[in-house]
Amino acid sequence: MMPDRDAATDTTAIDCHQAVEFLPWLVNGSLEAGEDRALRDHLDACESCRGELGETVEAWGLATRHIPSLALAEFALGVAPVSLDCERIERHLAACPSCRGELGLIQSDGVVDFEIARTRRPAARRRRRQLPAWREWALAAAVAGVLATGGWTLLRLGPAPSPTAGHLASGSNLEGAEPLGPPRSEPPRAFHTGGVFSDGFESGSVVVWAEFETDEPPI
Amino acid sequence: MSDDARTIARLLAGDAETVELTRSWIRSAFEPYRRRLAQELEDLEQEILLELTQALRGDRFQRRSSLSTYVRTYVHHKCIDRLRAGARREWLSIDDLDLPSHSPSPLEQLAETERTEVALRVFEEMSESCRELWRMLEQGLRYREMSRRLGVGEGALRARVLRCRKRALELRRKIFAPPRNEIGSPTTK
Repeated sequence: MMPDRDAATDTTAIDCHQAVEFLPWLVNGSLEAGEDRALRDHLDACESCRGELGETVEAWGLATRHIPSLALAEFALGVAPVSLDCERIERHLAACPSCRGELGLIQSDGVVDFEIARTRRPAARRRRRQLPAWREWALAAAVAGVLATGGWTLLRLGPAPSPTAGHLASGSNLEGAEPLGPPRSEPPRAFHTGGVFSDGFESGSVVVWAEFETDEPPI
Repeated sequence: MSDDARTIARLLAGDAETVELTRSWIRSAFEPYRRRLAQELEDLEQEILLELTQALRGDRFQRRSSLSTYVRTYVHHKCIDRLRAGARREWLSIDDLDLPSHSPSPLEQLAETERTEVALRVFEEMSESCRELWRMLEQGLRYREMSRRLGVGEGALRARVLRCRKRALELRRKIFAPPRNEIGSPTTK
């Protein structure tokens, strides 16, 4: 707690120990006016604490940097990001609810793309993402809207392999697509965000699945 | 010529139907942001269309995806950036807009990528309790509010944050430190 005001001069003097401790709240802009003024006055007069401020800003820059928005959007939409590799992105997503929330936003735009792989590709890079229950209904509503307007390939709702999961599978009338295989039964990934999963590259077809979990609260 | 190449050519020629198609892609990708960026979407649409046109004219579309996916990716990138800027309570001026014609040099891009990579590694290696403290700071919470939410005294909270600050810098030093097996090698004394 900041020391009491000096009634005679109406200033609040703080020492270096206090100043250093309050620096993160100076950086995040949440100090009250009097506290802010007292700290800035101290920094004006103390070179050592100005150095501590520099370190606080550096640490802030390290701890609050997130996945660049372009890389996040590319990752979400199935495009290999140029600036960061997918493994780094996935590791950060596992630790950062804020980036997971943004990923969920991107993946909930309601547009499901069916891109046809015309050449055989290895199945090595598969990304599975999950939707919480409320997004399940949002996605189902978006898909129903897409079907109603026509011009999209047929979607076939498959049986849920477990009480908490559901699947959407693309039909076999995609141009160049081959018949679908059985639903996957791998365990879900750790982070629960919205999205679709692309598979089946080895067969030259694209199967789009959405698996739903109920754990993640809405943003 | 592929469909996308035809669409790009028509868009750059100003074909009204193609411009409207592009706008429809932009608007559909706006859906998740309608509530939070409601007042800004009209301006954003114009800004995005302009920047996309400039990017396509400058041949920056690398065809790693379809054109519609490229447009959607760009829309999400801009909207996420706008949300992040709003959360920091910063206001972008026209001079701060990252227009394609002012894209950073390859060296600047490389340096920025490296900084991001290091920061993300530091973040991964931090303890969850430190990450939580930084998240709360990033949200702009006062120390009293953080102390209340965490159920710790204000003094203890400030000491924890100071330790986390030092830990972040220590982790960065560790990332840049040479590997142990280089010490004492014939080339070093």
